[in-house]
Amino acid sequence: MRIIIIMGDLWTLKVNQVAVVSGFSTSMTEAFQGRLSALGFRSGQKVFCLGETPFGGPRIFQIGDSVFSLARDLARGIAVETLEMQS
Amino acid sequence: MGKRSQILIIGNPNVGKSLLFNRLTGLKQKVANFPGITVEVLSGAGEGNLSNFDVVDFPGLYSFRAMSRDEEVAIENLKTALSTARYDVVLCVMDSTRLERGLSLALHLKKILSQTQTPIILVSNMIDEVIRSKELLDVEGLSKALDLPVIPVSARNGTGFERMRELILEKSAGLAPAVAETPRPLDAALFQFQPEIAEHATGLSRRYGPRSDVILKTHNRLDKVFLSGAFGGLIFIATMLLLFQAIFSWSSPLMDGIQTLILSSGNWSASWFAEGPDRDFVNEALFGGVGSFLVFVPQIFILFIIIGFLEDSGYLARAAIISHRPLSLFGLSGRSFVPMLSGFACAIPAIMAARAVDSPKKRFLTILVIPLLTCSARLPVYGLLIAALIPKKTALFGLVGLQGLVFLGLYLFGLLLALIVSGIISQTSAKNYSDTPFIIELPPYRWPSIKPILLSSLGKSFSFVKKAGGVIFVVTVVIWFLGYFPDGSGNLATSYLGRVGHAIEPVFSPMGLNWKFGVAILTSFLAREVFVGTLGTLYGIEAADEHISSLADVLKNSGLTLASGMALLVFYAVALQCASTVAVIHKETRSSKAAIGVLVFYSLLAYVLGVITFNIFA
Repeated sequence: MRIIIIMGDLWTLKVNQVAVVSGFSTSMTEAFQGRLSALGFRSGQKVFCLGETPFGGPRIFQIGDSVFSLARDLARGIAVETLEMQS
Repeated sequence: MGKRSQILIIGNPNVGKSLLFNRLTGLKQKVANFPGITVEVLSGAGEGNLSNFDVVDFPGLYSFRAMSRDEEVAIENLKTALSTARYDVVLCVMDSTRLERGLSLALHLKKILSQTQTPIILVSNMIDEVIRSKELLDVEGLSKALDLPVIPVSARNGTGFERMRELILEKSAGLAPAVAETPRPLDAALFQFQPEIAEHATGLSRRYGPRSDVILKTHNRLDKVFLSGAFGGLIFIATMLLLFQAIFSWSSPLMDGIQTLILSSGNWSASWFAEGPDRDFVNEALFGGVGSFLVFVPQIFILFIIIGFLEDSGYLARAAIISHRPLSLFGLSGRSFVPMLSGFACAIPAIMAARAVDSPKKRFLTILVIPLLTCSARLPVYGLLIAALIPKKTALFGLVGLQGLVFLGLYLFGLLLALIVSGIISQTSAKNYSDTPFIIELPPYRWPSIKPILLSSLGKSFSFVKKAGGVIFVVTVVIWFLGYFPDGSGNLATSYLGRVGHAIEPVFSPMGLNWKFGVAILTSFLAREVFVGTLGTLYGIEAADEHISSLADVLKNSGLTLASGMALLVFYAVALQCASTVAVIHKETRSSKAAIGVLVFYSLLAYVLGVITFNIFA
């Protein structure tokens, strides 16, 4: 058994999966990066996917003591790392 | 008179700043459990021992960095206020159940205000929710760690306010009252986002604040139901159906009561006058015209209650999330949902609430389509025509009424047209506006307090009657005079109004409408609710011998056909007959081209669709 780090974006998280924020996509403007940082999406912060919504809409994430809903285009711009066990 | 002292309220969105402001000033600023409800700077005189203070409430902010041009203006205003004006005390408000970002803003403010030596008091609101969750907030420890006074309060029930008021007086006692000083802008670098401050705030929150997992547990469980794939969608649709059905069904007993009251008051008042113009004026202009509008106020009242209930419960933010994907297909956003829903009550606050839409492009589109949604001023028109044209049949053991279904159909028609218009404009003229992606913070679920919702709904309904009532009174009196004179016999055909009506009759004949409806449409271009009052006066004049009877019954017997009635309904569903809405579009878009364009476009569209509807039903 070994633990591997999987790199992806926030949208790839499955419901109830935990990840750690690792940065932002280079295509994201500085203003958005600043806003997301102020909301708690900073490198090293734990983020938890709480659920999906009807009609394929935004997904729900908990970060710190707050819960946010992010649409696909924004979630795709947040890089995350997850840990997986591999045999 | 000496200079007044100043208190500034700052905090993240949806931490209860407006409720705190209301408690300090005794004012009734709109509050709701939805981020971004305060869209402009508010100011009011303090009450009680703070009567020497002016309280200033700024819209909520996450940081001093803007995401859009509009947000930039708001943040620049705050920066200027902090740099150039001297405040005696700054109240930094945070939500005790989610301290992280509140503390981050507080630490940042502390650093900025250390330059001007302005005292800060950290107000930890919603302490009642921490207590209810059996969690703790280490107020003393937090206060020592921050080197700032921390006051736990509940703006909802007033806990901690006495201590907060004392502290405000203490902090400002040693200072001279605020005076306008020579501007000395603070260093711009001070306002930059500083990650180390955010990290420090996270650490403090974990050490001294309540455990977020415990606080969020119930809310997250409820979200698993309200936001789940199929069930969440069904709840959303059922809630919206209930909303629209309730407007018509639940308000019926109240409407019947008001109608009976108006009829008996009219007959009683008229009995005091001898036959002649005086008696006809009381009967037709006052009770026939203004009275026919008042009958529909209960529908407006019920609508305000339901929207208030949904807002306070925290469900509206979930509804915004659920509606994001469908709305985005038409160029709008989930953030457009709340302004659009408010548009079903009144377009004016709804257009102002569109400031919460952070994307300039989507905000512009939201503003443009709100006038197409069925506002409360359309309710009297719809209510009258539906009562006159649609039979009172019911189905499903009396639960669903045919009249209610037609009502729902009109709401859906307005909504569908709004989406189509938005879809077309988003592909064409709105391309020049910049866009921002969708992100929204989920507020906690809360049991709505019934009393404030009832009081607020009553206040809004009275304010609606006051605002519209004045215009309706003037228009109905003028219409009555024009319809009664020059011969003073009440013979409409030979009256001034009859002559004007016959001159414009050819314009409305393609919709199968006689000249009286033409006059009613014309007079309602300032405010659409005038339509009912005008018809009440016009048909009151004609039916003067039969005394006052229900206007819907009079219309039913006047020969109004289903085709003409449907054409009228469609016309009123589309036309922008509200001078205040045009003015607020101009103010919010800062474009007279947009305001006039919307007025002309919707008027022409209403006419064309009205004529098409008449021909389909005829």
